[in-house]
Amino acid sequence: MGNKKPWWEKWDNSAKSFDIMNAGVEVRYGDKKRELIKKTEGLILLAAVGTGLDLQYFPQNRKVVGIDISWKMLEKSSKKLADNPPDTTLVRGDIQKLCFSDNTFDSVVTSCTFCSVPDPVLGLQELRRVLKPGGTILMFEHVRSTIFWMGPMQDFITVFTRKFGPDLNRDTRTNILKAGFTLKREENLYLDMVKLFEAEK
Amino acid sequence: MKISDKLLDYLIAMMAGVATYLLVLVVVGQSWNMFVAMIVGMVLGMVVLGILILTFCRVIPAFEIMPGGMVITMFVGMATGMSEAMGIVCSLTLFISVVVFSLLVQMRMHLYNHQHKGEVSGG
Repeated sequence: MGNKKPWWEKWDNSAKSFDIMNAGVEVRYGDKKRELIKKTEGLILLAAVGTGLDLQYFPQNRKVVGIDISWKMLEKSSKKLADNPPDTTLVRGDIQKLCFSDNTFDSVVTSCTFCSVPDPVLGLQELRRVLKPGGTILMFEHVRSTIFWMGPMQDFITVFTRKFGPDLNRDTRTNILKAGFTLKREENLYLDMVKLFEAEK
Repeated sequence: MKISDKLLDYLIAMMAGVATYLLVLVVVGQSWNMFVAMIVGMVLGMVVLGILILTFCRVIPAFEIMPGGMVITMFVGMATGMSEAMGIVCSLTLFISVVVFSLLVQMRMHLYNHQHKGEVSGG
């Protein structure tokens, strides 16, 4: 009775090993992320900041607000702020219920974020709300493949992975459109499973 | 994609196949029921894949190892389990088949990637 664990507890639990588990992503896609993040301007919302792995890709002259649902992730990312980061403020918050006013940010960046937000459309709608009109959302995400055998396989694996980590079968393109963004660009980085999205409010 | 990355992908694919093959040989015996041997082989393949992901996630994202790795470990596990239980295929033939199959699956993954990578029209 009343002892249901919060959905973000798994992210608190994985904070310790998060950098190691994701080191390969930085090795293979670090340059692509840097290229994407270079397109940001003005006040930037980094949702979700995680352990701060992506802070290294922001140019020094950027002003970033990094949010995350997990205190333990934020603890780890705050340690990275000592290593020559951009001007960054860390905030604990839920992407599905942001604590910022409408039209606050010029750009939003997400990096493997929408594999872990329970209601991705709600999360994207919130990001759209806090984005200024004409502002851009830049996303690096892994999604469900359309390759005939790979999609069902991702559905199967997600039954297990969502217990301790991400959903591997999200249809992020559709979710972006459902949230009301205008999709400007989509690039496949690995198969049709790892993608860059650029969308506008 | 860098040549070194490609070579690493092939190396991991081969390791997935060979490790699954060896583990199934150790666990599954000739007196086993063929169906049970097949299921156990498949499960052992998944275990091998998990270990490989944990070992190599520092250099390759888990989501790149998983698709090809799953096909390799599942099929090698099933085939090795069944053939070991039936005792019909010579070990060397099976070993060579495992290596060739693993490399072919990885080659297909690279081909898929080549076909899909890049700008998506209508994006």
